[in-house]
Amino acid sequence: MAAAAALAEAIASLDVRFGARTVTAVTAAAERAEQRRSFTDTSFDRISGGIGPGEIVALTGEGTCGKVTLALRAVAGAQRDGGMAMWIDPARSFDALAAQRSGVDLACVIVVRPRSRDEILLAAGAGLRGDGFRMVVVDLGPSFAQIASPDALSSVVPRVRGSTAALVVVSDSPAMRISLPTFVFERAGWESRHGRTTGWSVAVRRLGDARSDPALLEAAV
Amino acid sequence: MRLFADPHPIRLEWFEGEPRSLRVADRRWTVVEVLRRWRTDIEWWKGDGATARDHLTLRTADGTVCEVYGDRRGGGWYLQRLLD
Amino acid sequence: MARAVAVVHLRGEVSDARHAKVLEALSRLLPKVGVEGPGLFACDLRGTERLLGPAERVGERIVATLERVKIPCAVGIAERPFAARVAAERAPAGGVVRIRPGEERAFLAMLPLSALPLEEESRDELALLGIRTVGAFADLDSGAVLDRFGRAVALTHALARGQDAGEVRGMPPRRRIAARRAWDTPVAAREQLLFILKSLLDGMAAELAQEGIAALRIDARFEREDAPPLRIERVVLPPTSDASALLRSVRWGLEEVPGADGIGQVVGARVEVTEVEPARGRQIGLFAPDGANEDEAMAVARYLRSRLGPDAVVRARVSDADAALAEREAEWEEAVS
Repeated sequence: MAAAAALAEAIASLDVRFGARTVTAVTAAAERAEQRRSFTDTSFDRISGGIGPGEIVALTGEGTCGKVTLALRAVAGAQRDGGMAMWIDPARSFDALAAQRSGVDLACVIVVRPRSRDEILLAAGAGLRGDGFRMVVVDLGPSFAQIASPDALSSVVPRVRGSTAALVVVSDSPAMRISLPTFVFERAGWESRHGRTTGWSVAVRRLGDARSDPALLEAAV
Repeated sequence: MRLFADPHPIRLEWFEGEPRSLRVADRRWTVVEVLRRWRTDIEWWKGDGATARDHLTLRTADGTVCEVYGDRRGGGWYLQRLLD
Repeated sequence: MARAVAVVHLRGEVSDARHAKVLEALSRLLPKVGVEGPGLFACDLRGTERLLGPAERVGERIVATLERVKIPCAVGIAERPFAARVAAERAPAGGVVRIRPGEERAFLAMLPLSALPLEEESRDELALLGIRTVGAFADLDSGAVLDRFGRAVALTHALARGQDAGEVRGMPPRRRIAARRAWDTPVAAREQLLFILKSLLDGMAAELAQEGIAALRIDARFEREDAPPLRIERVVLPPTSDASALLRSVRWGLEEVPGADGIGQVVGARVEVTEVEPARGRQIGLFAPDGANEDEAMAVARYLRSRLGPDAVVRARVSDADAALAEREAEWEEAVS
């Protein structure tokens, strides 16, 4: 009895620290996680395996490389059975029409516009609590307009593991001091017709994995 | 795609009528191609309330495709969209 | 929809049974129902437009629903509960009266002072000053009213000006739902305090579930060794009997405690549920119906709005995909009011 009570207290402590339902039967948790993975319906899914609850994914790359569009597609994937998403937008650059064209249900996206690093952390922490959101995207914006780097999210990272939401971080440069599962977007080439650029292709690789084939994404201007 | 709710003021540097470089914040991007150019005149009958802009879609040397506009009434150029 | 409150005023005899029946019917229809008095209910219509339609239609539906069970009523709709209440009390049975936003003061202006909750003594004193209507009373300087008549009349003066707080209050629980605990070794860490509170809230959640009610407002008081007691009052949205949701609400309250010293040296806690609503039988969980997840998402949005201010928590809608100017492609609005 005493051992059972002590175990219950220990589980309660983990629930308090990392969020409710952290400790659960392994098979039940695995089933739930598999059912709730979000997919982008691009070749990115092949190298990422989708994005599941309690997981972090960082999408990085300079300039026009498609990382924001892919993040929008991830949101659309997370919304597939009606889930809500939070898009944290300190650069105030959320493109509603582009989001809709990527399959995002705008009625199920809350856009938060923090004005400081602390407000970004406040919003991310709140979005990861409870069952409200399937996905939280922190879009740090283009480098010339960034008010925080990915390293600033270090205090939020421990909250992701017990969350029922996935965290996607979008930035021009990868984190330098914290370890995040990162996918790097590098432009493979420009498409042109009659001497005019009409699109581009991008290779996406998991950071640190140069041996595997990258995912190739294409976009039109 | 990014659409800035508050377009960023930029400075365009021209050479022989073509944009050569773009400065935004502390960055300078060399323009390698003008993909598109167009003009809008909105609600011209409103006088002061009218909008008149010249728009450019530019590709820069560092691989950025962006849309900028010049405000023909108020003056100044602005970065409004970044393809990403 | 902007803020809107529908006040339902029952006509005829109002027995306890009839009052309870109407409360249950309204609570099934609407997300937040408060009790203003016997046979008088205030329904918060915020966020209902998408599902239930415009406020007037909601009012008509309420009247029709109660007419079917032979309970006559009238409905008043306004931005503020007081104006909605006055409209409901003065409407004919079966009527739905809507006071447009910004017109509350004008609506109330022509009414006699008896429409306001004023002591007879205050009313008589105002009459001696030649003030006999709500409008004349509202025109008085608020500072002068406070100085001359005191705080209670000053609050009534705010009502006359259409400046009441505008929040629909839930009902108190039938019996006290509270728990307390004291301990010897002070606790200064928030997580440790939350661990202690979890067991208190588990018990209270079980009582709520047993009574078929959900907590709308909770009051937590922490005794401290080195400072005056710390008090946190939380409105729980959506109302819930779920222990983890109650704990989450208290956690957010503790996180808002200002100062580098944090919560201080806490040696005791008392938590009480001060307002409740009938539970709606919704389970909030990992695979909850998406309506429940949306409720929780909106609760987070409300919290962020309160912390980050206006224009910081928004939603977009594409209004013109072919707009000549990019900034006209979409419209933005506050995600929560």
